[in-house]
Amino acid sequence: MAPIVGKFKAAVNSWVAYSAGLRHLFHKPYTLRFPEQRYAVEAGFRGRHLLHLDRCTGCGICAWICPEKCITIVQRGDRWFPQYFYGRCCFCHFCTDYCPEFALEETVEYDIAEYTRELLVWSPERLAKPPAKKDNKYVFSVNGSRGASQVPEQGH
Amino acid sequence: MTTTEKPADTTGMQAMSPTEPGAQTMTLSVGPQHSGSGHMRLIVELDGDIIVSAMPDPGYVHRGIEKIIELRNIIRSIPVIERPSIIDASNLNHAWVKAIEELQGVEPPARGQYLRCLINEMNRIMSHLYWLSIYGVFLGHTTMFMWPLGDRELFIDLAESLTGARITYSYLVPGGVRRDLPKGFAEEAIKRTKYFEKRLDEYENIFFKNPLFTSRAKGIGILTRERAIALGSTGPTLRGSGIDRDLRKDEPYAAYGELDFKVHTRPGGDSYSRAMVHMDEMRESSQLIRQILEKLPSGPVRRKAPIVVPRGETYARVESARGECSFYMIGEGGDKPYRARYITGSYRNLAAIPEVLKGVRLADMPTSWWSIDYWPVEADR
Repeated sequence: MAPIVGKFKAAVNSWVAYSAGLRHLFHKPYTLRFPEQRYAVEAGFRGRHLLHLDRCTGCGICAWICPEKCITIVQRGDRWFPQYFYGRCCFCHFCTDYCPEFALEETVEYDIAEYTRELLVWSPERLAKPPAKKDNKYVFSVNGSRGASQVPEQGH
Repeated sequence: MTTTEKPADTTGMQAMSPTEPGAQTMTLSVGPQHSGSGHMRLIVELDGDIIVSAMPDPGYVHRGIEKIIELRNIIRSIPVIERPSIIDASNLNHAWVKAIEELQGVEPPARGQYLRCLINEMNRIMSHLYWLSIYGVFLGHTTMFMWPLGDRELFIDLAESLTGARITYSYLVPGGVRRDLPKGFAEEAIKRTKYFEKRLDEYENIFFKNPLFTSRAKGIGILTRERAIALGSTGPTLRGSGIDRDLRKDEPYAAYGELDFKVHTRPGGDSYSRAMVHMDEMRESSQLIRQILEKLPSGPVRRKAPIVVPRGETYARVESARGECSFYMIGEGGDKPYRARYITGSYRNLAAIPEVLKGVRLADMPTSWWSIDYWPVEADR
């Protein structure tokens, strides 16, 4: 008797497993087609840095606290500013936290990959430019009926 | 030598008949760059397709983190501490800040403690989901590979709004946490945890009750209660052998003493029990997130703490997703520790791998050893 009950249970559980999967057959995929569709990150995201040249005193605390030593202090006229090498940066933003003059800020720009190593070195002038606005953004959303999915930012 | 004497057998081929059980064993090297072993080599001795003995060969991804943190100040060490297991970053980070705070005598504010528990529980779920997806693909269950990785996004996205980073948070610092809750976080977290619990029911239906899984996990890869204690297992591996041991309950740290939660155990000690412990813990952590957000006190999240490791010795441990993660630290008054011994849950569970693999079939090897949730990078450090 016991083997028959076991087989019956296994058959039921197999059907339960299949039906659990089949229910999701017509759901939209999560995946975004980057870079045509972009993931929109919220303010406070630890992307690349924004340097406020007017506030920076060139004290070098950012370079001291940097875990990866990706910051070099470079001279511009009679002042000193940080220069970032994004090939090493781990985006911990301790530099932003420890800046006594609030000269550094996080930005939402995360797609800063480059073809050459030299282009990953961001000069103070380049760091001072605010991130460019990009369109076609999607956000992650959980909706009761639809479940989790990526939806256009406008519709969120 | 007379003609009647046989020449000495140098090949070993005639020693025993190959058909006799135990006559010949074959040594198989699984890994270190094998999808079934992670970044580790498993030296498996086989008799037919039964594993006679299995010996893990760790160290392939050793990075010398204990030496690195002797050379950096305590803040600069935080991203390095997280690297062994970026899927469980905040729990490892917690052990580090706990050791420093014990030496400094700094107590973080209550809200900071709760936020630490919040990110720890989110991390525990993310780590278990990652484990589950790999478990699925080890068993050839592609849906179970895709679903947990997709649902991990629920918590990665939440963690991103809380900490600013998706995986490597560097969120816990000596004295508290770096940021307060963003606006609308609590409502979104409650919505997502409720949705996640519904998803866990679906996981049970498609995978944990599925005969494809149960027939390959029940009664296989047994680690008995006695052996689990003798081998020093921790975390879900220990709880899967029926031992009620969880540092969050036994030695409450951060805000865990004020939270009401259950430690889940399963008596079986087999692959199935260990897998189900992970499943129960995900459900418990999800409820715990809601409880933390309900009980969250107001006030500051961070207290001033100097970048100094005072003279002295301490031993701090926390319950990470894979078991006890501990730091034994010696300070000599500088900005870096003189010595910090770093032991993670995976390293403690390493000894259980030969035990669970003994006597199982080669085809059951991935099911058995991955149920321990051994993360080679975390163990090698």
